[in-house]
Amino acid sequence: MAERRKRKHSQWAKLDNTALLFPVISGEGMSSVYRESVTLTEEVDPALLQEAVEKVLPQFLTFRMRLRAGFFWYYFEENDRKVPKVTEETDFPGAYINRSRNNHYMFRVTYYKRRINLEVFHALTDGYGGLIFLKELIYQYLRLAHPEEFAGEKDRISSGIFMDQEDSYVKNFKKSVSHDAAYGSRKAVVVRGERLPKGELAVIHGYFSVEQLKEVSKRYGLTINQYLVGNYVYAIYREYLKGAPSKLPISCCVPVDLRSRYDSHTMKNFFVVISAKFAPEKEEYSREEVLAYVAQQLKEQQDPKNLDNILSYNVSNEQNVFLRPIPLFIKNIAIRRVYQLSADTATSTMTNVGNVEVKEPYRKYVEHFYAMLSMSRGQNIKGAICSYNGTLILTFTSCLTDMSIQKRFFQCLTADGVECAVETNEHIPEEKEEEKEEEEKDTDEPMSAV
Amino acid sequence: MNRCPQCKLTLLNDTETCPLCHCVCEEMNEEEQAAVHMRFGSGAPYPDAHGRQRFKRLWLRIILLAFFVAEAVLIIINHYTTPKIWWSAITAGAFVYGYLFLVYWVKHDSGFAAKVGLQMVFTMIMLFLIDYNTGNYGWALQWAIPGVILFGDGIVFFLMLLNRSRWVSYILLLLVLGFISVIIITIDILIRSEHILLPILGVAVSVLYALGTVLIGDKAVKRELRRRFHV
Repeated sequence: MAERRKRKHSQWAKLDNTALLFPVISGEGMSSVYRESVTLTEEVDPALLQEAVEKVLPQFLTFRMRLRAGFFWYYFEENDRKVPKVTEETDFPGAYINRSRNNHYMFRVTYYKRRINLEVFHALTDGYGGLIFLKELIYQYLRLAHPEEFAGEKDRISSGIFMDQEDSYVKNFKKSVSHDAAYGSRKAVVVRGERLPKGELAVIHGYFSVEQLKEVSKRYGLTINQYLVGNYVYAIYREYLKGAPSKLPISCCVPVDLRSRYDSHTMKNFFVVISAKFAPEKEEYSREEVLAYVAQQLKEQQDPKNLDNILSYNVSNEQNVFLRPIPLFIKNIAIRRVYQLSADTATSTMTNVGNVEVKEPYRKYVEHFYAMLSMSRGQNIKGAICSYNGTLILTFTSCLTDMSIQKRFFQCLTADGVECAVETNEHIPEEKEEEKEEEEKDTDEPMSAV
Repeated sequence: MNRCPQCKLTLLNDTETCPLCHCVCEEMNEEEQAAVHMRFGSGAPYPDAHGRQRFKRLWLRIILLAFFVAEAVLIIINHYTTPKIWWSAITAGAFVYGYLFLVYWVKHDSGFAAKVGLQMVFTMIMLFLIDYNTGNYGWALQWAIPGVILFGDGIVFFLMLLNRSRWVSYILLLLVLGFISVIIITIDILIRSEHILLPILGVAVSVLYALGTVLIGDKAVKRELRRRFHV
């Protein structure tokens, strides 16, 4: 705070390469908002959570930004408005963040019973940045909720966290490559069906033991990620294509964090999307065949040279000296068009934000971490993986009423002997819970009246 | 806590049927429940968000319905009072314009300055089109549009006063108004308009206001312009 007072004018920053896309394509229909949640072992106190946000936000410049439109580009400017209000969760996950009604902040913190949700507009940062913020928020919240227990802990963000604001895309850009070398331009299968009412989202969490998943994946000679993505592609193949050959491939996008590869610690977005494509040409493929095919695709795509190509292609247009001085409203039309074309080449997305580590004194209050994605053009179902404390939670989000793909996916895993528990965002009315309690009471009583 | 015998899944929600296959679930005994609880916790329920979604769209629809009813009444009045002049078409246009801008103001997520600026540009275009289609008397370029520009300068002044700590963020709107006022006076001179007093006043006020702001604002304005025009 002191640092902020010293400065007379607000800081500003250019958008990173990925962020350039989101302000153009986002709106009520496609929010570009992802959610990272945590469930605690106790009910959340909203006043303390608000206080925690007020204490943590000033330390995160990345989250203290507002989006502004320039003549040639969008840009971020430091936001000195009041911290957004923490509210009880009342909407579906991943709902659009209306910046002008959120003090121009591009994130939202909500709570419901034991869960704290952080929803972030993807232009700000990716899942890595979101998780760092969420963890610090929880630490601060727990320090406020249990002052005696955490008396030794200071009200500041953890040491070792990098607050780097560099645009790692531009920093690591080497040379321009063609679109096909980076992505390929073949259209993909789109999972269609009866849609849920506008604004609604079906969420289903699958809880798995990491140990069991490791064991089963090993049996197939795969990594956990390959195994899960492979089964997801198989579920789409069986349930949507009904196991029939298709001219269009099933293309599952998998975001890859580039920080370790390029030795970056940026808090901004830094990932590229690779895709596992499976084009069923013959009549029937076994699950083993699909798993092996998808694993091979992912392995090839994760080749460092391919990642370099994707990064370079993404940045090349931004760096083009002839494109840079084009007015923003013209750029927006072009970006929207390019996005529409590229969106048709993907069936779905499965992201893995990785294994979350929580600092020891706070661990006993934290039960689970979740990640989930909102819908985008052509992708009516998506998956997000997050693991913590030996439990991996895979969350499917969908705007379709049909859940047969999710059903097939979970059945495949249970068939392999992986224990699984699921939970949906279907609301259970309180009266029903009360009725059940009463029923339980009735059955306990002796049946004297009969 | 129940278990789906078909999918072999434990359901953390308290539902009687499996949400995936709709098979009626079997109840788990206390021991089994405790084992699941140990392994996966008890889950975290979600609130009922359906009502909010319905409410979100309801009031805009109510306004739309009110516009329809009002226009229907106006058409009936028009029919029985002045059947030869269909003035109700103008009111219909006004309702459409009003509703579209209401939706834009409510739903579109941009700053106040951008909304004001865009609305002004559309108002100017609409005024020009009305004039052009109703005899092209030139009142739009000579009176109405310069009037909108002066009104816009007034709004910018008011916004700067109201939001003093961020006054510099309205500079771009001011420059846009100045630019439009120069275009209008140029057109008026080129087509030799009869009345150019208001266009001259418009350009004088807008340009002087913009110039004054740039000079007084000095570094703050330079900084804002550098950000806004970074290539």
